Amino acid sequence: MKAGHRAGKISMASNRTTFAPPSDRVKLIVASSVMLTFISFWRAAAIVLNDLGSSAFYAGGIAEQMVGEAAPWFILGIMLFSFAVRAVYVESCSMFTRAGVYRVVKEALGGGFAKLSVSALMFDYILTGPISGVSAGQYITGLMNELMTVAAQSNWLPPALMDAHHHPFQFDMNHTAAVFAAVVTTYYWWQNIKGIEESSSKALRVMQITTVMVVILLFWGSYSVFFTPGAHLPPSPVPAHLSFSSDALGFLRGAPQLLPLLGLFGILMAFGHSILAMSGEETLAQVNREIQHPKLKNLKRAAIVIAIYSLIFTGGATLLASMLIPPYQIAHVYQDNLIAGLAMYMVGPLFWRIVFRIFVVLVGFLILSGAINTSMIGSTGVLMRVAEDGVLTDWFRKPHSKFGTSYRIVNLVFILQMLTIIASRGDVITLGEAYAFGVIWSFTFNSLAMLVLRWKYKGERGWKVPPNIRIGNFEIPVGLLSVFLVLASTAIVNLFTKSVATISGVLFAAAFFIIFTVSERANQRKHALTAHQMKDFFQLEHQDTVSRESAAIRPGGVMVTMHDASNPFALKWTLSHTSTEEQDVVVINVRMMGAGGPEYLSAVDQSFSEHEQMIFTKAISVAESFGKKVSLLLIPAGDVFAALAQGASSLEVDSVVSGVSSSISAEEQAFHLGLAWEALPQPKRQFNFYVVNSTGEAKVFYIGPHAPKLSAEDVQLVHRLWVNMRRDPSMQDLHHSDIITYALTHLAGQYAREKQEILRDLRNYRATEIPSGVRLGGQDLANSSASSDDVSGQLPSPRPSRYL
Amino acid sequence: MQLAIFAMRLLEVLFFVGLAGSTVVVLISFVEDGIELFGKDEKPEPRG
Repeated sequence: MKAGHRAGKISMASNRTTFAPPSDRVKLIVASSVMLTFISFWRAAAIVLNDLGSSAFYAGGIAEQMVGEAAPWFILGIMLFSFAVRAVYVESCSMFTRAGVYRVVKEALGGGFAKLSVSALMFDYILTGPISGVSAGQYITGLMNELMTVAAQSNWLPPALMDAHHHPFQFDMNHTAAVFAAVVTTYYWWQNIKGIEESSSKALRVMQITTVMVVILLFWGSYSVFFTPGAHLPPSPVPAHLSFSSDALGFLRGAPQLLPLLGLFGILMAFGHSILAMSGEETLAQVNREIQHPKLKNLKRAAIVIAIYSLIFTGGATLLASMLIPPYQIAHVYQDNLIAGLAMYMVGPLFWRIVFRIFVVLVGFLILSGAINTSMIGSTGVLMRVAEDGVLTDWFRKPHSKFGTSYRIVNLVFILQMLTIIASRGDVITLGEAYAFGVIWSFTFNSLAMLVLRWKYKGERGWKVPPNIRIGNFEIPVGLLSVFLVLASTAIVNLFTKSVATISGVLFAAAFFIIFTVSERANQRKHALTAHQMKDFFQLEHQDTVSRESAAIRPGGVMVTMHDASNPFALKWTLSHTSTEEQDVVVINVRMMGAGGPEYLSAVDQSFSEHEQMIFTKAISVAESFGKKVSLLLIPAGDVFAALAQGASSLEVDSVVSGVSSSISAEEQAFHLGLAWEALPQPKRQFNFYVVNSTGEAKVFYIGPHAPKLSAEDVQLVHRLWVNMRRDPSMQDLHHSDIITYALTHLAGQYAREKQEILRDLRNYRATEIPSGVRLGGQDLANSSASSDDVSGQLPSPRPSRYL
Repeated sequence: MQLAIFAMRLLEVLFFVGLAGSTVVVLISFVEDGIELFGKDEKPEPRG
């Protein structure tokens, strides 16, 4: 049951010394349920819209360049069609919690197709970063150039910024945008290396600001259309009104005899050139696992919010821009920053138009730079997913020694994105051309797979894309088939009309496909060996959810985290401060799941990496050196603090011990754990959180409500008040606790009325009177930020049964 | 040349047939999801 001793060393997956397996293998509990925090459908919609909404800033301009003035109708058509694509994703999410392209295609068409589709998806994700960064750069550079021009016209510009012809200095749009994209991408690379905190609150805030811009844009834009002479709807989307650029003809340039025969085929071509307006749909499948109960209902709510918002924003903004901005200006000035152009062609004083343009650029910066981060997290998540599936070697999964992140995958994504930025030299049109390849092919693979699964998949399916016609026992998925036909025909047409996309996309996808295939073969042998060794050495026990009873530990134990086999100081500290005769010690390793990971992992889904094997082997080795027993636990999770809080609650431990993080302070660790504890459902129990540094010094924090530590002065004050008040004859039965209760109730009432004043007074008081501490949402975590001497005795023994 | 023209016409047919079907998908799912959006959550049944 416990790891009392170890019979010998075991061999790692690499070449290491191997001893015979011990007869009493150590029990290692592996949780199948992934510990997650859940979000509302509004937050889920905000996350998806941060990705999907960003395309509004460039999709319209690119489509106008490609197909001419009728482009806004195609953008609107794409946004309406995206309702149907979304329906396919909702059906896949109702079948698999992690219903991304990889999982769905693998289930339907096998590993080969799954690798192919995920290669196309990677192309989509990798290019999302550069196109968003360059687009944001175009908006900022366009604004700077506009301000230079306005300043020059008002004679505010210094002569040094004027050329010989008295023209203001102008930044090169493409090159400046590329530099900007490179800087922002580098920033987010470093954030991801450090382990950026994913925040749905941040996404929600960005979407709130974006909504303000969209509302102003629609109302002011509509008003401007009404009062602008000559403003009219774009020409109808019929073949006669399409004027394809040379780039938009792609390989058809080589067959000029076909061009007069295009006819309705031109509609398909124009549709294909507008498809990138709905890029970002895959994010819906990625956030699905985090949507709170009732999941399907909330998923559909999120889907409809996303659909309506993107239709109004992307479709509406493109339509208004085409009505207000003269065609020449669209083609030559605002092709890369269409919404900025729209701001400048509103009706009203120049000052307010410039102010609104600055606001548009600010929002564009927020949403587009957020999309760079989303692309990095998304592509890292997809690669993590395939790595977990054994398709990428363990080399990619190795965590960063300092930050614990999968830095090799992040580095790979960063290098590919930087290469893309350099190759594009800041040209959004080229990037948009290439980008469409990943978007359309990942959708096509997904819808094809869903079609196949209608016959192949026999499991639970919460919802089906309507309509479905039943003839006897045979059901024809009319809706799903229709969506697939549109996607597949568009994808095939794009192959011939988007030469940049076809060449770059095929090369990229082929390269990734080869990497995946070779890597998977190498991995199969290695993982078979690792699995064999794990089974030899550990008694693997897979449990759906972990509880104290199932883990067979006593109440009031100690849970110690371990994520680095070379630095087990937290475990050593714990063992030196714990009598395992009285308290059980559980060593926990949290297996971080990438973005879009599943809610449940069966035993066959979980392959142990060499890193995990080393951690548990080291834990046993340390326990053995102390002559003490430990239990081992592996928990897959989306958030490390949520996993620790849930694990501590499930195992009913009294203490959680962790090594100090290299990226955040002990106080911040406690704060995050406190937040995760607050999010836990009732019943939950308090525990002590010890953060140990490498020199053996520990700080202790109390997680959950607890009696605050009162100083002697505080106790004196309460006593003096009690003595004084008790002199009143009516207060003969007054207790000290009554005074505290009254004071707190009084404070709570005052806080409700004068929140800011109370907080200000409290801040002033703390700044002058009290050393820094940690607070959580108004609730004192009362850290007794102690030296190792203060906590050098035994860890608290099991609490009375009132906690159980 | 003839093959290319045939392929173009075939793709046109597939695309427009699919587009017609997708329109039905959009209409039905829009109404369904709209009802979900404004509908209330069912209260969980009391245990025991």
